[in-house]
Amino acid sequence: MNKSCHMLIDYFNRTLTDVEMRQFEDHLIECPSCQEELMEWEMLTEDLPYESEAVEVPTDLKARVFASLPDESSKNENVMQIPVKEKSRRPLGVATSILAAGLFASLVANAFLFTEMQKEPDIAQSEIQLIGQSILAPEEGTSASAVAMLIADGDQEVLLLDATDLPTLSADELYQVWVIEGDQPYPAGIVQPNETGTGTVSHPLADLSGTWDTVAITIEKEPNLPAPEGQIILAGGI
Amino acid sequence: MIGTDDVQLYYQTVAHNRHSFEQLYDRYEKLVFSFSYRLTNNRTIAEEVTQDVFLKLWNGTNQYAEDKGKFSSWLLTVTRNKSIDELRKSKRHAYEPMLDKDSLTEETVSTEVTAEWNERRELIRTAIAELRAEQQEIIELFYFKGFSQSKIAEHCKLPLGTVKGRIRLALKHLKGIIGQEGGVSNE
Repeated sequence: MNKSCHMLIDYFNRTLTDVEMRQFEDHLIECPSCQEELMEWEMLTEDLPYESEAVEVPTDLKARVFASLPDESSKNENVMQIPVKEKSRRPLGVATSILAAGLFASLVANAFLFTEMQKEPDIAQSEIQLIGQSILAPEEGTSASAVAMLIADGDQEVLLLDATDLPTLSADELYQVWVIEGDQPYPAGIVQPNETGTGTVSHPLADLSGTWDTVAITIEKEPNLPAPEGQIILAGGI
Repeated sequence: MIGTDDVQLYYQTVAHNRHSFEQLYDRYEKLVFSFSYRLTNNRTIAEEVTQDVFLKLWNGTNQYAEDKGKFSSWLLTVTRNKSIDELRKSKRHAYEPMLDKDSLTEETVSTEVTAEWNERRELIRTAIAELRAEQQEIIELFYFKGFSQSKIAEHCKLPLGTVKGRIRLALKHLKGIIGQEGGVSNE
């Protein structure tokens, strides 16, 4: 029992200061007994939200929420239509059922299958597994966002990245994807956003299936440098 | 049980599938809003909280993982955290509390979530009513008001060191009654 353990209730009720909150979170990572106790409090209180009386929701709330989503309809149309135009439909049908069964994001997975089908139509029948995924956090001053997924297809691993709201670059700049292992970055593909700032890239990790745990996107002047030199736009653990 | 495909819809939402997001939104909007209103007693804050909770689901700021328990429980925890934070912030800025009793309504649209919620509400309320007044009060102060340990101690005139034990006892007692009456406290 550490002195921090006594702060658990106040952590649960968010009455700690920001500094105390961070201290307790650090403590929580190392304290199995607090982790267990926190789960107990969550379990003991899980019925209580349902005690609430149903209140009428403002009729325009949903419209307001959906109006604040970035408009991605054009991206959805492009990606969804591409596979239909290409190759035979048979592998796609199988692919679709795999997607429905799994937790793949249809949008991103279709982009992946499209890329792979250009090379090898039967790829969609092989076993595709989602190993990990991550939302990359934007650096300050940008509204960009990206989802990174690590997918295993047989014994090949592929990093799949789907970015939106990327700021427009000047003619001599590009968006470089990196995977980072400890302090060592490795280039992992280039994102080429369309005019709306949206771009998808899939990059085979044949030489990169080490213990890397971070994905980042930077703005560079040259592709595939040994290390990033430009500004970081997005980064996250996977 | 409701929301069996919540997790799948969540991952599709994170990948910016609007249709999946809309399904999740429709499923939980009223519960999230009503729970936030229960905690804050303020419609303006409840609206802000609801928007924030769902937008952060979409943009991935609030990340769910299956080891965090059921999606619905996690969503409600996120809602409670944000409601408590916003309520405190508003009090610091001397917000006018908006008592809005007119907004309490009879059930209108009955979805799977609201049907199960109605059932659970009756069960929980009956169970709470069976607790001693002190136990009812400590649950209200701890969970719905989000008081600190020391504030609960002061309010209930209890030694600080005994507060946690009292809360736990009250919650376990409640859980026990709910389990006996309905057997649906977990699923």
